[in-house]
Amino acid sequence: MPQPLKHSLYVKGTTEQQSKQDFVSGLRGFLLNDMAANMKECFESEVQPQMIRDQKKLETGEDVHDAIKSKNVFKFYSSMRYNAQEMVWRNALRAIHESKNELDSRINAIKNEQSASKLHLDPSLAIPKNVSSVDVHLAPGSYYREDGSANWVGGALYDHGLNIFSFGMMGSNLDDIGQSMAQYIRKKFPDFAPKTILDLGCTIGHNTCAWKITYPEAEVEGIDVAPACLRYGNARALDQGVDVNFKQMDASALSFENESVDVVFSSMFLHELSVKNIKRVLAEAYRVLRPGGLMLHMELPPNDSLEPYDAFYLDWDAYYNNEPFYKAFRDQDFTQLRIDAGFQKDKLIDFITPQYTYMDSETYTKAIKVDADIDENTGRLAEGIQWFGFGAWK
Amino acid sequence: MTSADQNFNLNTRGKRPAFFASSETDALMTALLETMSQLWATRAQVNLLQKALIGKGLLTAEELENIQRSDNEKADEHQAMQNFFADAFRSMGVPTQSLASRKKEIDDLQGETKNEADP
Repeated sequence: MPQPLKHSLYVKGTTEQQSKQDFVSGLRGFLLNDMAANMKECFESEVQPQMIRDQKKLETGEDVHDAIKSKNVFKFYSSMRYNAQEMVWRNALRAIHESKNELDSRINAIKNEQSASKLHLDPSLAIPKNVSSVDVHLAPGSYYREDGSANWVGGALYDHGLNIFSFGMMGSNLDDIGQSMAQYIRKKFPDFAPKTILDLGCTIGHNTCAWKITYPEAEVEGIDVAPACLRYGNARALDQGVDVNFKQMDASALSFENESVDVVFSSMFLHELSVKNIKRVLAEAYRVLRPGGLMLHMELPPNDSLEPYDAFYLDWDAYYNNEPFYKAFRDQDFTQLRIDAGFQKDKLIDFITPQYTYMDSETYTKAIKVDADIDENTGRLAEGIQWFGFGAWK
Repeated sequence: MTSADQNFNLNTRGKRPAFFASSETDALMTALLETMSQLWATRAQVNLLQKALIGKGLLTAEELENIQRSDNEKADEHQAMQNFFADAFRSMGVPTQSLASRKKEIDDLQGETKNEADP
């Protein structure tokens, strides 16, 4: 169930709206746990044996997709997931729209001299095609939605939508990914003391703030191309008392100097880019990193590390959730991508981490002492989820 | 679209995927889920009203909006929701039977009965 967000920009909504949000959240939990288990059972008991009998190719997620799409369980799972995704946004939008004036007042009340110095927009920067050409994640208006004077709606929509979408699986402040990644680095590499941390495609800065909390001495910058998210993220961070700079910038053309940053981070970002653009982003990360610095991306695992069924399961979003680059990214050789960007093979880093905000610090420290392998729970929003990180030291 | 919705967009750009053989079924799924959502919201509100009636008698709208559920009550609600899903989706994904198959089954049963009655 969605929990109240921990900041004053949270829109509670009416009791009816809350119940509808609970319903969608609960429905997604049911689909991604129970119904997903039924679909896998159907694959193992019916589809796979038939494919073997028919001597059909069973090597990739696409092979599984082609074979299972005629099954009722796939049709119902997919139809309900697609509709639930629409309902996430529609329910969030209604609550935001009805509280628009009040929320606008709250955002304006947070704005002050400090907020202006922490927010740098670039009106000359056009929204890139990968963001503007589709409503990513089926969200009406996508990340950059602005409703008249409410030029922050895209950010509010992302925050409230993610809260419903994640059915309590992304932390009480929606920052479990950022906290888990930053804490993993801090605990595994205690001598590493970054002075400058950059979060690419930060949206509303929920995971950017996690880095500032983990490394309070560091200067933390969050960049994104969508001003609506940055405006909202700026107010959200200030409201929570977290000192983060937000800048409108394209991750494939950073304005940072060469060798000026210690950590280049992103979460759930690369899979929203074309392969061509991903290569530019990784090259830019290499350029701006100081020697000894760390590039780290939290992502869904690559398809070559997964069984065909699990690849199919994750690829669903590429076809039905308006994430057109999702599969092509995960089809890449993640090692080669990093080497092509300039990183050395012996400096690459790949790891799995449990969810930091769902356990005490001591338990987490013990858990990450044992290296985990990618499995069906990696990156899959369901019970037992683990996050996957990959990157490189420069 | 309600009058309150007229000035803002709730819809996603682009074409919807078709999962079923007929687009009518896809549309019915949307209607079904929205109906379920509304039913759930109504059920939740009835529960709230019952709680108010039992506990405090007649309440103001403001008092009603501020009623909080305990963690145990939330857990019960969550379980009830999962049961609701199990009921509503029980026919989805299970094997179905064609008319020809059903006729054959009837014929087979008929044959077995005949054999028993007519040694």
